Amino acid sequence: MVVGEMPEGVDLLVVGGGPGGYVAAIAAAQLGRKVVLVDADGEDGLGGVCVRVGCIPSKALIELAAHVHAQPAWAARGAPAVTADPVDLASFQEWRQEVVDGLNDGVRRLLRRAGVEVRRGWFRFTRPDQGALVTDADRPPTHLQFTSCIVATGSRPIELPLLPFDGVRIVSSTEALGLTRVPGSVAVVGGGYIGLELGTALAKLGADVSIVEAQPTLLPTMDPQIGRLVAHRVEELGVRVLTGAKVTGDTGSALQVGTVDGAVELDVELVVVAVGRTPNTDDLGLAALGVSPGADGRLAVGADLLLTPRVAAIGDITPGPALAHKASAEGHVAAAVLSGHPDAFDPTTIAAVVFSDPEVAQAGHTAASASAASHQVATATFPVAASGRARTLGEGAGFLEYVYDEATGIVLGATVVGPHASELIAEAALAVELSAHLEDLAGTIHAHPTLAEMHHEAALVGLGRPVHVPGARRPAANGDRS
Amino acid sequence: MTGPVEFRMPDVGEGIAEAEVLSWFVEVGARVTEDEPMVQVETDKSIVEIPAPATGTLLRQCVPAGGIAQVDELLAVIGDPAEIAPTAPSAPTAPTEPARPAAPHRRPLASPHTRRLAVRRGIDLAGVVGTGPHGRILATDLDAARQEQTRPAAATGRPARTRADEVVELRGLRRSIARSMTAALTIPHVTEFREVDASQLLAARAALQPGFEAQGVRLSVFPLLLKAVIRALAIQPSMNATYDADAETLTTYAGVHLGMATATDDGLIVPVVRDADRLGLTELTLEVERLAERARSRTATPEELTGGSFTVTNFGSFGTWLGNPVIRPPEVAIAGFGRITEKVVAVDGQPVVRPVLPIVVAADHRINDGAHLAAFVNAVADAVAQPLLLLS
Repeated sequence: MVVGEMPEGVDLLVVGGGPGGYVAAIAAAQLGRKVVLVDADGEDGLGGVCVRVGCIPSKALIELAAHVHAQPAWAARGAPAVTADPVDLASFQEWRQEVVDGLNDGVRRLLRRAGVEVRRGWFRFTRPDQGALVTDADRPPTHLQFTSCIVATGSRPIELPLLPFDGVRIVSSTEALGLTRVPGSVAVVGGGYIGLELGTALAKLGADVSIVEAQPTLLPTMDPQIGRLVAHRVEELGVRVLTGAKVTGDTGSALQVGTVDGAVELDVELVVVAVGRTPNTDDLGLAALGVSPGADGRLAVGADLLLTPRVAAIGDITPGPALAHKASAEGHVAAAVLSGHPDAFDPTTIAAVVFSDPEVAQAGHTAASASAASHQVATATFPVAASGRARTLGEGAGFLEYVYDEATGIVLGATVVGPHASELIAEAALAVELSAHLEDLAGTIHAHPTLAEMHHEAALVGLGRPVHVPGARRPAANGDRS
Repeated sequence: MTGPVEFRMPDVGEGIAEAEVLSWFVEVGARVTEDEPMVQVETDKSIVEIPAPATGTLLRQCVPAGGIAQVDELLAVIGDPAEIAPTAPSAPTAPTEPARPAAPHRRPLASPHTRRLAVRRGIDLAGVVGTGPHGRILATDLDAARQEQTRPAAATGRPARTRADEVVELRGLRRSIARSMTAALTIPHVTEFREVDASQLLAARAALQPGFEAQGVRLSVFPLLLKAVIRALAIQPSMNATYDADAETLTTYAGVHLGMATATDDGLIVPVVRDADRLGLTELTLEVERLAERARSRTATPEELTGGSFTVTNFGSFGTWLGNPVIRPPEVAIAGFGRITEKVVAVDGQPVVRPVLPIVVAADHRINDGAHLAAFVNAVADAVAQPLLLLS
């Protein structure tokens, strides 16, 4: 031991204050552990990317954009018209910051009430049961010796070599969410969910938007049909969608893009790079634990999320989608496992939501993935256009589709495209987790008039006795009510 | 057939409320034939093969191997898969309600709560048979599954000792023995030991042997010892009784229902010779042999394993000299015999070599005092020493 390296004892150390870390800290405290949470930004960092520069700010922006965009349509239906002044993005950002600060403060209070001590600093492992917490470059680090440790350091936006972030013209999603003025023209590089959400919102706020995606469709991780549906809709908003396209350079004022139809120059004021996120595992001193991340920067963990007998990893730094709700769920598991309660992160589904227009949400299998898993696949679809509640919202695009095993009637997955798909997917996720039968959905009375009735209706379609769409799909089976 | 047959756990014997399913002879989806063995269950007392109640396809095994079936609980559903699953008439391996997912790589149907419980208990859901709707694994199915997964060799009755420090919940026979022996701790034992000259007993056996052999029966010493016990019980009837400590009642039996402690691979089993006092030596010998065999093969019925009024144990069969026998509640006494060995004994003041039989009798001191015990042991010893007394 080096002189001065007198370690301080910590029962359970959580590294990172995001939706994985703070949930893990509270869960561990509930299990009777004495918890210390460290975050590079201290209490200001609580809530992590999700609260501060991700989920919450982006949804605030999307909500604003949807509102602004819907005004003319509502005016046409009789609502008083609102003057078409430019959107005051600066005052929106003030309000948005209040929302973020409020949530951040909420997390701080929750941690305090749970008895969790929050500290600021960069943590780095130095031994299998110990690490250094650096608070200031010119001050010696504090050494923490822990009984258990949960690593939840999250991820950061990927930077493209061709398009280094300058914080002014070439920005990440984080900076794009902080814009105080609607840019005249924007190129969004990346047609995944972050790029699509941002591009759609900016277009609705009045920007001239182009989306550049290297894959053949938008939302490349989802069914191509959904990507095409969403592309069609954003094109209606005036967005230029370039798929199968790659950025080849940037002149400082124009983005050079190679497409199958030849080279294109996008003369844009702002370039938002949203090509994905990379896990923050490169500066953790993992060698001291005897582990190293894989080629994608993630840490291989099993269902118990353990890296070593006393260290667990959760959230964006572990395999699976980089989603806040996945990180939180893992936080509960890691806290339990390290506290001597066997547990496993073993969900059937992690619902994925895209706040595009229309919203897209998916849980469990798609028809293709269910087929690949040797299920006898059948689907039951109900169109949004047939929903009375959707009509009252002035919405008609989209569908709710259940994928189920034809032999057993058990629900395997669902896709929702349409208004409030982000909320509607919850019922489908529960159905998938509980291995519900179509009858279970059909036999549950859904309140009217709601969008959620589409679950009931889609199940009836699958059971061969649809009410609000014409024609039986096939003869009644799977337990017809006689 | 006219529809699926629901088969419930039958009442396999007096006082038996549940049985452990040891193994299914027929897989789900396979054909069963009426009256042919379908499932093997173990009660506290015995192992019973239950035949199929109808011919058809086994659609469901409602209690997995290792699970506990209460009497009257649904055990199996037999039917014609075509009748129930019109969409898949030609798929006997995929009935409408499969007991487990057809493809092994598919995820077992279970709620997050059940999955969490399984993890906490160290149970692999892939090996659990769900009894819920559509084969869904319920939290209650995990209780049964734990048995299955911690007792892989349950079906053969010989758990392989490949792992150390294994915690296994006691079930079936062993649990029954454990409970019985724990209950025995509440009995204040008074025990008497005796060595008896067995020369006359062996002579009597030798004299009777040819007659038995003529009937194809091998006569051992044991039935003669049982005869001695039966005689002693007639002399001291307070030993041929059961005591209900809660009700504080003593039941003294008119007949002698002799339990014979029999070692089996699974544990000690005590088949009961009913009305042993009314059987002649030949009948008794045959009955003892028959019951011992049924006990060892675990095929004795619950009736054959209950209702004893007195128990005899044979330490000699283990090669031991003698042991301290434990009374089986609610009985009030037990007699044990050791191995007959040649010993130097004094006869008329002279050292002589004689075959000597060690005897031990334990009595419930709440019911029998030392004097009763001595009178009983004397009666047994007298009969062993002078087998002619058995004729009286």
